[in-house]
Order: sequence, then C-alpha cells, then structure tokens
Amino acid sequence: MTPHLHEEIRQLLSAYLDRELTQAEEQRVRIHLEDCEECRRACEELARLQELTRSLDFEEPPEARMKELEKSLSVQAPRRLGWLFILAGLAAWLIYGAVTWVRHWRPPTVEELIASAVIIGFVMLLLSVVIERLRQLPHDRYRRIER
Amino acid sequence: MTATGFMETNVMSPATEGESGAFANFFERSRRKAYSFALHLVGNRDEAMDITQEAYLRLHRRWPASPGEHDPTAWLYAVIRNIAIDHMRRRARRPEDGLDHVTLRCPSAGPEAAAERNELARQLWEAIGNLPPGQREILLLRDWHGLDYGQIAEVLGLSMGTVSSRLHHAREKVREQMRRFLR
Repeated sequence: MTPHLHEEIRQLLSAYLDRELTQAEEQRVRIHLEDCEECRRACEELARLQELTRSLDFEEPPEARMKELEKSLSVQAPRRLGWLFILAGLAAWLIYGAVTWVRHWRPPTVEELIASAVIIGFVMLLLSVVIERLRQLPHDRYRRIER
Repeated sequence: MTATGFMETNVMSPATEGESGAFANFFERSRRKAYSFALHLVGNRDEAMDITQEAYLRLHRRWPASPGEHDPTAWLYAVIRNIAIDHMRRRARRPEDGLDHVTLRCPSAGPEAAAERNELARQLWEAIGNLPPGQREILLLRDWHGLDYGQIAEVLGLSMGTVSSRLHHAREKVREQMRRFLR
C-alpha cells in the first residue's frame, strides 16, 4: 500500500463514519480498513471521539425564560389575526364613510355616530400605545427582538 | 443535556411540519439545542437566551407562509447564527468560551469515576476550543447537534465538500490532542 493511498483513505474516514460517502467510496474505504491496521485504528479513534463529543453534557437553558418565550409565542397568532381584523374593519369603515359622503350627504344616524365614536376612541388608544412605546424604546433592552 | 436525545428527535419531515401545532412541537424538540448553539457562539448565558428568543420569534413570524419549503432545523440554526454574528459585531468582541459550561454525563458512576469523566470532558472541550472557529463550529454542529452535511452546508452557506474537508481537519486535530484518552 502506498502512503498516497493511506492519505486518501484518511481523508475519507470522517465522512465514512458519518455515512456521507458514495457507495463506491464507502466500499473502497471498507476494503482498505480490512487490510490496514493503522487506518483501522485511526477510524476507531475517530469513532470514539465522536461518541465522546456526543456525550458532552451542556447546561440547560433557564426554564423561566423558556416558559416566558413559550407564552409569548402562543399569543402571536391570535395577536396577528386581531390586528388583521382591526385594520380590515377600519379600512372598510373609512371606505363606507367616504362613499356615503360623496354619494348622498345626509346627517349621520345615531348608530353611525356611536360606531364612529367607538372607532375614533379605539384609534386614539392605539396611538397612545404607539407613542408610549416610542418613548420607552431607547431604554428597552429587548428592542431588537421582533415580536 | 446530551446530543443523543436531540438526535433521536431531530428527524423532522418538512411535510409534517405544516400540520397544526407543528411549530409548538418543533419548539419543544429543538429549544435546548438552540440555546446551546447560541451559547457556543457567544459564550454568554443572557445573550444566548436573548438570541434564542429572537430566533424563535422570527421563525414563528414566517412559519405559516411556507412550512414545506424549509428544513426547519437548518433554518433555525442559520437564524441563530445570523443573530449571534450581529450581536458580536455590535459589541465588537469575540465569543467567551467558558469551559465551566461542560461536564460529561455520568449518571451511575461514583465520585472517582465522575471526576475522571469530568477531566476527560474538560480535555475534550479544551481541544475543541483550540480549533479555529470555523472548524469548531462544524465539529459541534455535526457531532453534538446532530446535523448532517447538507444541513451544515445550508446553515453556514458552504459547499458540502468544504464542510466535509473542514470536519476532517477538525477531527484530526482533536484526535491528535486527545490521542492518549482514545486508546
């Protein structure tokens, strides 16, 4: 066996252990390992190393923060849907109001006044939240997190 | 936590991820590994948790759009890596590789054997820590996180050939340093 062949097989050992070689390459390595004790030992050492690395035991993530994250993730979908409804409702109401205004102007009904008051109040609340958030933003350590 | 548990549950068919509750299952199965990956990258617990949190929130935001198009594991790791790089760039510092994060699991061994195993873990982690960052990352992604070459290539934006070659060099270097423990 030439040193060149040893080197070539050595370079394939890692992928051989990971089952990432083609069938032909795998067979070539297997045949070589049957005859070459040195490469076989290298292969066994690499396998042992893999096993040791797998058994390294790292610390667990902080459970309280994980629970917090889980909760935050669970409200994402309804929150998104809620925003969608609010925006769609506001847009529809504005279009309806504009069309009514242009087509046939008449004094608004009591129901329309009440609905408009609710919507205006809601928009003002939203604006107040946005303004408050913008004021807090420079001091928020989680500001870069997409919510 | 060891790599074995995750590797058993790491096999996810993207097709099944479209089903209801798929994200919750994915989160449950991958969160510990995700945190460890972030910790390996930045070496700071608080920052690692922040990065993990940000990564899942990003994934969740885009999850329903195309559940079948991504390999969720590779996607998660790629997002974590990008956020971690961003964090390190902003703070202009390198990862803090703390050896105190690591002990070898040894549930039934006595104190003496446990001490030996811990020493072995310390030596191994030191050898892994001595690798160039690019090689260390690939070694851990393959051997501890259980990603295959295709997934690693996707996470790191490399070709499969480069992944294979770097992994080979990384393992050879660690084997050289750990030889007396491997025989």
